[in-house]
Amino acid sequence: MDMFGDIAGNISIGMETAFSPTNLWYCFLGVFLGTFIGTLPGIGPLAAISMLFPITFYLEPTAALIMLAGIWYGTAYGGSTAAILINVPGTASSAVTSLDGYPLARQGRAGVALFITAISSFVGGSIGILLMMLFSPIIVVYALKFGSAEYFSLMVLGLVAASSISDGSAIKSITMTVVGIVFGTVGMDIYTGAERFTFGLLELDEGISLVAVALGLFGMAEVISSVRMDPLSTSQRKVTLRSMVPNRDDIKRSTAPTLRGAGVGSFFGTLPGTGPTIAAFLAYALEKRVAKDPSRFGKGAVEGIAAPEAANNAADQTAFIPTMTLGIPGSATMALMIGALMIQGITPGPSMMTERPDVFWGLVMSFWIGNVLLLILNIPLVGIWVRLLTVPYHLLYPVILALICVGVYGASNSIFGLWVVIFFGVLGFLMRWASLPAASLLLGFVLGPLMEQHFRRAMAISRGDYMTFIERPVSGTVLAITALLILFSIWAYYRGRKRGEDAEAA
Amino acid sequence: MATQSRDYKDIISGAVVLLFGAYVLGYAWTRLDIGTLTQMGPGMFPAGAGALLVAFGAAIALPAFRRTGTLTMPDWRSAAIIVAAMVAFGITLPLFGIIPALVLLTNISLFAGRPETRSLLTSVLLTVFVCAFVILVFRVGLGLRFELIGWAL
Repeated sequence: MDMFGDIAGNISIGMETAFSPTNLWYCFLGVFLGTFIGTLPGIGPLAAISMLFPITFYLEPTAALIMLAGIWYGTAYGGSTAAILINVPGTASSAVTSLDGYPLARQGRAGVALFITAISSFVGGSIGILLMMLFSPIIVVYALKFGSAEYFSLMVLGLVAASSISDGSAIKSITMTVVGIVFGTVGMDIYTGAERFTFGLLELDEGISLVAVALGLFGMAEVISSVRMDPLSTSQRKVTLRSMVPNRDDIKRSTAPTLRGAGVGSFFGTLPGTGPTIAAFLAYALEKRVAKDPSRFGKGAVEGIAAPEAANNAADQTAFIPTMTLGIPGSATMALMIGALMIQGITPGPSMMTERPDVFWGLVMSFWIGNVLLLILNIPLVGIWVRLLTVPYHLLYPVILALICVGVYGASNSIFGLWVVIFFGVLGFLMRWASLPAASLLLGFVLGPLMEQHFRRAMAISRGDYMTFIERPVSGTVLAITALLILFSIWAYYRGRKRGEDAEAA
Repeated sequence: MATQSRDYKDIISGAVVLLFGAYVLGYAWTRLDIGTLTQMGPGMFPAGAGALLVAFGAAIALPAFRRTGTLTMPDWRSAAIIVAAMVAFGITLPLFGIIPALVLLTNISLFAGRPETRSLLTSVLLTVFVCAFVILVFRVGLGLRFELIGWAL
């Protein structure tokens, strides 16, 4: 089949790109930083990627993307270290790992837990990468036939799905998405030259800087909420290499859960609105359901760490599939990845595969390199991370603030960016208080301009005919699914409310 | 924290969203060319978004009238201190260069932390570390040009 010949060709392009010294270095830097950030509670991958965003301007697009991606999937490895050792997960996606990981540590088997985590993460990630390699070309073949109407509808579906599937109030999520879209309209309209919401400020002509929004919403707002955090009491546990070797029983027990977890993670990673965290929870729940003795969970069952760890890593990798092949991000972090590329002049989507195969396949191959590096970092070098857990947050946050301030100044070469950061920082702070999700705002902010572009183009092509969105089969189907999703969410909301009222009455 | 009869948090946030949406809609309607449905102007998209926000804002605020909730106070103090620190940075940087700006940023922001974590030694060490770190990463590592210490006066 010609497909395989293509894949071989793509792999070689990818390897060439990924193994260049620059890209290797940035891959290492990315996964190293990712593990670092993952290990430390109090800074999440989204905040970290936001803070390092300005640095990517100085890099080649491939290197920038490789580094950001490295941070993203790297955190899935590091987060579990804290979860297992001090019962405080470094990242949300590792929260489930502490359920069985911490008991294992208390039983003196922390080394084994860490080892199994690393191996499961590697297997999960590998399966995710394989799926990406196999399915992306197929998706792209279909996607190349998509027109603006299809893209608009897909983006609508993506935004609605992201709001309705993820945790928390769906209405608040979609509201924030629309708020993000509004912020996205700020600037000079490219078609007509009209100034929208610029209030006479020249600096806003090009729109609000994505860097400033991300740094404000996720960097500054995070610091404000965490600054009075309790310093963690960490008991240093010595973890030696020998103590990490699992016995045969452990290995036997972990194999199937790892594979199952990888399956769950790969699937949910591609869906908008779900990510590694949900995938990990679901994988854990699945394991408990299929286990012969569910009572072992929560007391140190290796299945309870193998499955979620495989799931969150697989989800991390497959999240890139819709992002890179269709240009449709399923989460705020993926929106940032797209943003990073767009700032460099590359538009992710099916054309990217044909126009810039080096970026796409270089990224995919770098995933392999990254995962191998992470295995090395997390098994023999785990002692470093253990020692890291003792750094108190109150020493960290001034450095974070400095990074934010200098970063935005460097990225925009003017102080205006800083004022924007402060604005969004305060906004983000208030939004947290009101439980309004900031990730949705970012998603809307990145997708809004794209959606408008596609909408206006589709209308221009159809000469003002609205029905084009429904008449074209793909677009129509997508919008129908969106409508079903909305109806389902409303139904689920009322059902939940009725159950709540029944329970109160009883 | 006492529970009140109404979920004031949601009422407030819903109202703010509604007002914001109304403002966006008004701005687009009056200052931008909305155009017709078939030939859309630059104002159409923002106007639509604004209208949606008015609806969503109501959807958030109205159910909150019949729901109980707890109204917690946001941590104004931390926010104000961090904002002050960053504003100080923003004003100082073009005038006096990056080192004074970082010194102010670090030392003002330290007041936002828990009092027991503050000490003169921490301030000094952190300030030195931050300056060295920034110079290393941004100037040496990325080649960003900025004045270390400038004199505007």
